[in-house]
Amino acid sequence: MTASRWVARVRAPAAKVAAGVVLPLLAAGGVWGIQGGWFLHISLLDVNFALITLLAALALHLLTGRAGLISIGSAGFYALGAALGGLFGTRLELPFLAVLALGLAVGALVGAVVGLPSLSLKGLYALLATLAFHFIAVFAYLEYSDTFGYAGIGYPPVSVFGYPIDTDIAWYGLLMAITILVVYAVGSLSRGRQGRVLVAIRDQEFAAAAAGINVGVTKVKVYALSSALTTLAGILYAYYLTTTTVDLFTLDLAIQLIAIIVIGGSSTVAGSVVGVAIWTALPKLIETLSNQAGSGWFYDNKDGFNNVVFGLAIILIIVLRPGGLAEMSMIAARAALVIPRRAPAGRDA
Amino acid sequence: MKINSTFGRTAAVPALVGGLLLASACGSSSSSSSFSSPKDGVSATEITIGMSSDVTGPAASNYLPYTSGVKAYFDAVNGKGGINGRKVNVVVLDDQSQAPKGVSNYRRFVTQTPALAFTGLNSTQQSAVAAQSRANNLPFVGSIVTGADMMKPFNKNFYSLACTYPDQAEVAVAFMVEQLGLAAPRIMTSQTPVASGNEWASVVKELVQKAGGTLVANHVTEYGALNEDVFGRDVADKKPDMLIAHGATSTAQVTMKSLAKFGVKNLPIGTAAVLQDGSVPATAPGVVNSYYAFNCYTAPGAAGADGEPLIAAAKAAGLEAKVYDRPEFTQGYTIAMVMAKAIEGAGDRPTRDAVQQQLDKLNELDNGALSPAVTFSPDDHVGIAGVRPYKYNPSSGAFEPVGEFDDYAGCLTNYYVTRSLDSWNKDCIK
Amino acid sequence: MASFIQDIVSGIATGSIYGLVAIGLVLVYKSTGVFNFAHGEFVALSAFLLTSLTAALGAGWLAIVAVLVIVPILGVLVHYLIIRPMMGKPLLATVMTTIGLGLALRALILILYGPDPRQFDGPIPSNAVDIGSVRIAVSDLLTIGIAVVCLLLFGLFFTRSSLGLQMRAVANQMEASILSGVNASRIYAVAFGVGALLAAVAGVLLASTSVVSVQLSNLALIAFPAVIIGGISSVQGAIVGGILVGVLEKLAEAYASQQAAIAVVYAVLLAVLLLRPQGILGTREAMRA
Repeated sequence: MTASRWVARVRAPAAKVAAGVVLPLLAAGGVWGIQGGWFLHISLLDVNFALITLLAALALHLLTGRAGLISIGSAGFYALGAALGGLFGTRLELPFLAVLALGLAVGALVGAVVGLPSLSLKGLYALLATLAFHFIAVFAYLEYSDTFGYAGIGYPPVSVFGYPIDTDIAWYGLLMAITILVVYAVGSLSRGRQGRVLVAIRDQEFAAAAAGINVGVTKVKVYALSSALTTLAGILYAYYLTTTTVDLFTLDLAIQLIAIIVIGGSSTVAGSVVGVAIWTALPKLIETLSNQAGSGWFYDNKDGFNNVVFGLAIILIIVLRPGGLAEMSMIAARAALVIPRRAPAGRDA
Repeated sequence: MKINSTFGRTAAVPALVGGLLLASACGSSSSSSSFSSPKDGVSATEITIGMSSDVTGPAASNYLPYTSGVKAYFDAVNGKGGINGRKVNVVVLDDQSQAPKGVSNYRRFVTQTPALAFTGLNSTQQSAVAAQSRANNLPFVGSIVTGADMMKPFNKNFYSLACTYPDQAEVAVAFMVEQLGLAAPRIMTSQTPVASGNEWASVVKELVQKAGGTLVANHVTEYGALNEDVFGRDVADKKPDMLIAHGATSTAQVTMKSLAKFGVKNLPIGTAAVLQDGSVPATAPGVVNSYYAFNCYTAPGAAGADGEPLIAAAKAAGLEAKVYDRPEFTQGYTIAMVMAKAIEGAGDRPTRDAVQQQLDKLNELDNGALSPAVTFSPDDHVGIAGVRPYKYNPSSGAFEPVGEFDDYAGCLTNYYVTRSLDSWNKDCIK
Repeated sequence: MASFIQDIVSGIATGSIYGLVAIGLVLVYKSTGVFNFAHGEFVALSAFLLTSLTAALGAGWLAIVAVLVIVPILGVLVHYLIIRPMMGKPLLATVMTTIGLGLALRALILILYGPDPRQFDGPIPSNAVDIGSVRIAVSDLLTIGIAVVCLLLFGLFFTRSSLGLQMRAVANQMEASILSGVNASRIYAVAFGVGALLAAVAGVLLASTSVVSVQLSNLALIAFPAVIIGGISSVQGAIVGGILVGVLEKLAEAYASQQAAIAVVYAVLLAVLLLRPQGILGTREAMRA
């Protein structure tokens, strides 16, 4: 099929765009923010939350976009991360990097267990298993956080290799480093043999099995990896907020993450980046527009508009362009940049 | 972009021109009106006040009246020419009760869109900014609730103007026990699974035991539950003498429905300030025998002559009674009044530090029937001490104050400072 | 013992409502292959519509009839606009579409009705009767009764009416039924309309016995386990699953806590998924990979 081959051709540059253009842009945007050149009042703090969200979105991209599996349990893994932060960081007073490492390990282990039903069950059942994990994890968090007193779990100050991470810019540096590492890892995993195995399972599960791929083990692995990454995001989220309570871990959080990867494009790393960027900017844009309106109906309902736009965007994108906005912008970029340059050389456009 | 709270965008230009004219007129008598301190949110003509509130989220029905109260007060101030010639611009950011949004909004007012003073956030969000709020110099003047993390250890920048849950519980238990006149009352409590709910339930339990009563059961009600049938059945079974409740309007309404289902009748109910909402007892009229809320703020309509300026300001702002005739509106109005008082006292050169010095000096600011007097000192930022009962009147739908704040002063242990309920006894009401 | 029986009755009543919602989910899933994650939003929307129609029409009964007519029409509209283009697409796409639909519907309800909960003074009485030492709410008995009547009506519809027979045919043997001349496209739309009708019945019942808020849409979250526990391939399974989940929830609430209840229900779901994925009454079909 020409369309899918074409999409495949777009995909490779899309990953490069993610690594080569969007991330430095995000970095530049952040630095620009520090210097006070505000865009839609997006502050460094918002950028930092966006980076944490990007980690969780990338985890979902691995699962959904790469392996065709689906999870609505992201908020549960956030809760797991927040609880593990409380256990390893607050109670056992382990250093921050050790907390992150242990969090990754426990997250992977729990993720593998959550992924087990996907071995024998088809999509919907596996999805409901992740929903079950969400409710069980949130309840476990609630019971555990009650042992910390009324105000939820508090986290100790962060330092990495002796450097205190106590300002937004320090956090920005730390999160950026982690994000680049994760993007690189996810990108190279996707390009390598494992990536092709995942795509094979996504597109032709039986053929993949026939070709000698151990589908079950691969599925559990990808659940483990994705869950570890989401748990990591949860720990970072908890430490950055300094306190967590159970009301943070709503199913809506998981749904927002699904929205992010669908709107940006679930099959590419760039899609997650674009999705997170839109997720961060859209409320700010709506707020700015509604403030210009000053008062009245639009102003009063800005939050509603945000979710209406998000919900409708998901439907439209799935119906019209399942590759998401990242793919659309690639197509637009090709149309705008590549073709005019090539046209004089006499090639057909 | 910033928006003046009084004027629409089109009116902003003439207002600005008017402000400039006013400023230049003052300039002839006082040279300091050209003072500006952008990092403190003060320009030659304008003062920025920052606010983060739940405007469209799950707790909007409590936070919207509070937000409106703050805005209505400053609208009225601006109508009279502002503070020392400067207009006050209240910038409200919606946080929908979400922690990351609240933290983001708060930090924006620290440096990005600097504000001279800040108000807002729920208790979870306050916990998340507690450390930062100690590290900068932005005066943080209350919210409708005060998180424990903001007060302990002492926070020089945070000025609480909320009645604490222990204060409410101390008056509630004493009053309800006295009302029933029972030597050994059997009491049930309810709470939502949030920090303040846990605090409420545990303090009430200790007080009930001190009063010689027994706590029959505590029910944790969940947001969004379809019914509270197990709770309703339990109340019908155990027949407590009264219910002492905490919660949110929606959970309390669901509870009322379930109590009615199981034929519970004539139950006396005492609630935390947050449930001072007539829609709760009105949900199931036969269930409640008497419904009291324990609060430190009086809704404008129930405060007699003292409430009139609030109603006038609310009407000038085009608000409906269901928004302004609530204690949260009075609370917002009072918070704005305290801010304005401090800014005015800081004179022609208002800075964050100057405003803080003024707040620290605020002594016995009389608020009439609206609330107990407000007092701060450099090492005590509790601000308001005093709670009284408000009785729900089913025929008018209003809450009417019972007695004066002073009548109940003997019940308060100042728990956030003393951390002990030892000085409380059930016969503390004058 | 008395309180145990009371909790069981509450559980059956609450569970009948879950069952009604679960039947809607099963019907739509069986006939169109789409699992509707926006089903709960239809319940909430019905309840809100009921409050505004009561205000507009002046009578609760009239409003109830109007809701039971309008919501199925909305359901059919949603089917043609959103669900139809999705049929035959991968599960991922259909699930995400209905999640997007739910997000948008919830936000729309919030825009139209605001954050404050509303009340509906319906025709269902709020009192209790004592049977021996057991006190039972009249509204619970009525809810159970209405659910039973609904079930009987749907039973007749599926076994006696030609439309119902065609729906079962399409759900069980799509190709064969199309070959034998059934208009499958129309059947899909009818299935979605019937699903929406059941959601509307649940919405009306909940508005009468609880408080009208956007939170009512969370009902679907507890109907999902009901569907799987009962068995997604059978309509009877859905009602059995609903009642089981309702009873389980009330017992967990009574003997542990309300926070534990949903975790307990989902833990049972996990166990069923792992041990008997076809559900209690389900027949073993292609739910295994």
